[in-house]
Amino acid sequence: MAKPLTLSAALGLIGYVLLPWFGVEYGIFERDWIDAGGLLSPEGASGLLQTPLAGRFYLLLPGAILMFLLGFARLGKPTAGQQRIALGVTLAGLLVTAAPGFLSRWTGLDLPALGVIREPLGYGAMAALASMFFCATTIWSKLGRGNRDAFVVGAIAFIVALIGIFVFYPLAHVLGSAFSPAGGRSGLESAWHTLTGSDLWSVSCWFGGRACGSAVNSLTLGIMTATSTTFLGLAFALLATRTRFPAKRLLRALAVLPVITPPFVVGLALILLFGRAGSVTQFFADLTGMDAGRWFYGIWGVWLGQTLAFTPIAFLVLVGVVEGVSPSLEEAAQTLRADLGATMRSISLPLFKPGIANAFLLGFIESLADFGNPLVLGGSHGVLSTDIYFAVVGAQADAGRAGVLALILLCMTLGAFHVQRQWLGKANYTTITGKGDSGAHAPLSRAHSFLVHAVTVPWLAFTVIIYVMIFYGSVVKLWGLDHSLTLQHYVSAFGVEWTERGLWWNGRAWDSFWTTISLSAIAAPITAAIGLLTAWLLIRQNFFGKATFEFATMLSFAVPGTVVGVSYILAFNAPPVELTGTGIILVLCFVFRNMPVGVRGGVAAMKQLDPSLDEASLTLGANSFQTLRVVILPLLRPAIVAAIAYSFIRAITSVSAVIFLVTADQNMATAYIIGLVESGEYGVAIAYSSVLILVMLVVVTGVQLLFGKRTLRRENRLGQAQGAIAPTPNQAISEAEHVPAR
Amino acid sequence: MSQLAKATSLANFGRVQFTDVVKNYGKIRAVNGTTLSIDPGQLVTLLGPSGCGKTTTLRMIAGLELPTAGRIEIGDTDVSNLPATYRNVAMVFQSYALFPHMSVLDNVSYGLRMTKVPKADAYVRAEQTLGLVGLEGYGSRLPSELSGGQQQRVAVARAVVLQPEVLLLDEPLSNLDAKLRRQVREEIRALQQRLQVTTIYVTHDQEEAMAVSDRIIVMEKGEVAQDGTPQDLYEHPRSRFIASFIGEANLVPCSIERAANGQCHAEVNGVHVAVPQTELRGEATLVIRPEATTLSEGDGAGAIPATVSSVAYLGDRVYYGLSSPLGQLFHIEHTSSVRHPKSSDVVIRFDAAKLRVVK
Repeated sequence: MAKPLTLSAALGLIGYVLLPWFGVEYGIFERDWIDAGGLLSPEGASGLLQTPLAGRFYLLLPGAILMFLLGFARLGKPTAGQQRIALGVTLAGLLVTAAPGFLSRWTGLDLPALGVIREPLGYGAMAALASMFFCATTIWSKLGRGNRDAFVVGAIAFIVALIGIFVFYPLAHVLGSAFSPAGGRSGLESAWHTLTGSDLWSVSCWFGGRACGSAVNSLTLGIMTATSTTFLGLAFALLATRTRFPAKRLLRALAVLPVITPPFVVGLALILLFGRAGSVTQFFADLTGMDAGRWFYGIWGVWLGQTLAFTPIAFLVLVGVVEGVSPSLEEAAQTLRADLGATMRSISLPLFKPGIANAFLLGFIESLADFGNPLVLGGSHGVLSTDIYFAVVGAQADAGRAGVLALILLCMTLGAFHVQRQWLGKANYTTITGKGDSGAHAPLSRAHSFLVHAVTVPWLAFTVIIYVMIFYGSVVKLWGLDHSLTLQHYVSAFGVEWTERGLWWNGRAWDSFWTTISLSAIAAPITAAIGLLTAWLLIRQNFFGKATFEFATMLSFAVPGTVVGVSYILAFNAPPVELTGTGIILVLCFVFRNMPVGVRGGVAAMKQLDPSLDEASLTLGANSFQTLRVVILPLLRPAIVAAIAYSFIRAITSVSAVIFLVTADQNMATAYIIGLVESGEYGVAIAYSSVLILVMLVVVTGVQLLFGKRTLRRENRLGQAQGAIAPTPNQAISEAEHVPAR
Repeated sequence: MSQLAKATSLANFGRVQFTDVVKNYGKIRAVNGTTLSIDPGQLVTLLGPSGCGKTTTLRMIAGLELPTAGRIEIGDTDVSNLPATYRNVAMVFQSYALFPHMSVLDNVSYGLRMTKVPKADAYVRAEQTLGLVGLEGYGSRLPSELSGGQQQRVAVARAVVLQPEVLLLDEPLSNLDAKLRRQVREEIRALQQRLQVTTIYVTHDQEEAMAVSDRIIVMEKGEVAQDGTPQDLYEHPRSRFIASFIGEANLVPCSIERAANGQCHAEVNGVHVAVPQTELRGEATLVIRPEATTLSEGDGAGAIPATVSSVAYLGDRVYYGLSSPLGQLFHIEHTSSVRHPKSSDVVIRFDAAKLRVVK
């Protein structure tokens, strides 16, 4: 046990001696803190130097504990008693290092002599804490019985700690904020006041009144969108699998589009068609001589936008379901004298039911969590997610209200998530047995086929038009007034000029573009790594509380982006963990928002790996870390690439959480585009969006070309030794698309 | 590798000892207080129907499962809580579990490389071992480029290259077709004899077990049902289960009586059949192996009349179904002609020395 322990303690000590214990203004990568004295100034002093320079004697303790651990690691064979003592000391060290900051934050106490102060923890403190943490897990792993591998125990504890700090800790602050006293009311009263406000629950618009409450709007919209996307998704799934529709590949291609489309871009295209100056609006205005005005903005517009955006997700879920039903059941029905129509009604549709419910709930969750479309198309029709945003950034800047709204939204999505999981647990008819299931699915009857085509073909055409509009809109001078073609929007956004001093990136979009690309590129491999590590723990390890662990890792998918955004600014705007305004908070936000994608991708890929591969490696003398590195990871390469690419893309396209966390320094493309839309610069906004779509298209097709067809077979003779073909990236991406569906 | 099981005294190298080993999965008890001991250099088969605990037992020897209670020793070392990585055993998996992304040579040398044998040495030894299983020159291929039988041999080579104290084989033949199976099991047996390595072999196929084993441990419901040489098990089954599982037999419920002259009789539906001496009394099962019966026409003293109810001609032997006062019986005759057509009347004679009575 000596080696990992020594390494961990030594690294912690190095951090303790060489890195600033507290956070320094502007971060340690800027020169400012070195100019201000570096480690020798009281602000930038490392843990060791805090005592002589700032008189903080309590900071000798972490150093002493790290020294103790280094010494303990040199004991050849410590007894169980000695190990227990070391574990206790380490845990105590963790507590006294981490707890004072939080104590100060939560209680407002100020006891400088004990470290109960409002100072953000810096890299030095982080290193010391991480070091003690892994020492603790290493020692603990040796206390139990044989199979407790230090690496596995460390990994489990690490993931749990991360989820605790970056998912649950922020959500706790939302709760705290919701129940904080405001405007002379006690916390409970003010929360109750917001909770029961008519601006949330009014249903007056159903009876000719002006506006409904935003919670009612969210629910109504959720049900409408879920219904329409499920219906269309099923129609498309049947079209793709049960008819002789010639362009099935086009369907699959279109299904990937929403993945690479920032969520509000479809809304922008709709504005070009149906907005005030939209083509369709103008056409009818000319025809009838009426001024149509802003007729499109409101619940119908948002509904259309969301239906366009989320139908492909329902499609991907339902295609799996429709294909998953065993063909022999349908063939049996036909041999029992059922015609094609009756087979569909009596056998197929009932078997699809769980999948349909699943797609419905998924559409419901997506609609509730959607922020871009309501913001762009909602007009005065507020929904919860936009109301949260305006409660934070608007004139009212009411964190308490934002907290309550976030809680309501969270309860709704978690409720749907819970129902979905319950449902899935009880009724699942799709048959994936691994046995070859011969037979062919029954084609649709003529009547059903006609119906499916009548629904899907016009909608398909509409979708194609929308995407054409995105590119057409970006090269038109001023939509609705001057339709001459121009590249001025692209120049304005992405202009590059050659000057005496070299290249001058004078386009307005460059700053946010490079920030977006670099932060997403940093976040993507971290997301994939954490996601796959979690997947490995879930599939290959057994440990106490695994079900809870799994639920916690999937939870962040059900938390709407706006709620994540609010929770992050509420939690990380003050010591001890102060991150607002930095790029780090954006990266963290991406990592924990998208982690479930990596987990699901990894789980799907790892389930296809024969567990005896791991066991073979273990019996051949490799430990679990070697096994993971040498056997599992190489086999998962396509899944890893897919997870990285997908996390990258999701980071680029995310809006809802990001919009709370961006600053002038760290602006993200999507947030910048929303700003352009709000100031009416549709041309530049669309030009920027189409560049983003192109970038992501290049990433997706590049991944597909490089890794798509690569499998481990050189020929198609699949022996038993070969039970291990990882899915191609695109499979993994479409797997990941229905994450909440599982 | 400090935790690697320490070298054992030569006499006990390869000995496996289970003492009261229990394995639970949640509330399900897979292995129920097993005690067994396997001598060095033997090939021992764990035999039993699916779910009997044989694979769990094997995996506990490998260290892939740790026992819930009890003690497992390999050589002179208590390995009860030692994970697989640190045990000096090697296993051939049912699915072979060849690493599909590594060449055959990388697969075979994997264990050596993981235990820090210098790379060059590892490859030389791997090549030699490939030669041992008749696969020289196949080192650079991927597992997917080999036939099923070749993959199986690679899996064996990968295990024996480590010169393990104990070699474990988990249904190694189940993925091969019937003809290849016979050939490969002979190869495995020959290799085991040559290397003199303690080998534990799991199978549910009793014929396979009989063919390769020095000793067979039959398991039932997580417990050892009987333990002995193949001949022991066949000739002296200790229970109805063993009698039916090992070889073919008519199992007839009977009651055992002891005559005044000390001779034992089994009574079935009023018919008395002489059986060898037994301690059993009262309700029991009469085990009638096909070789204990002869069929003939006509009648005679001590013969039991019967009617041929079915005939199945299998080329080298003939299966007869018989309706008799003892109930439905079957009989196998190793001739290539049908001597008793269906519905003919015959008499059955028993060779009392070959009859067995079990509880």
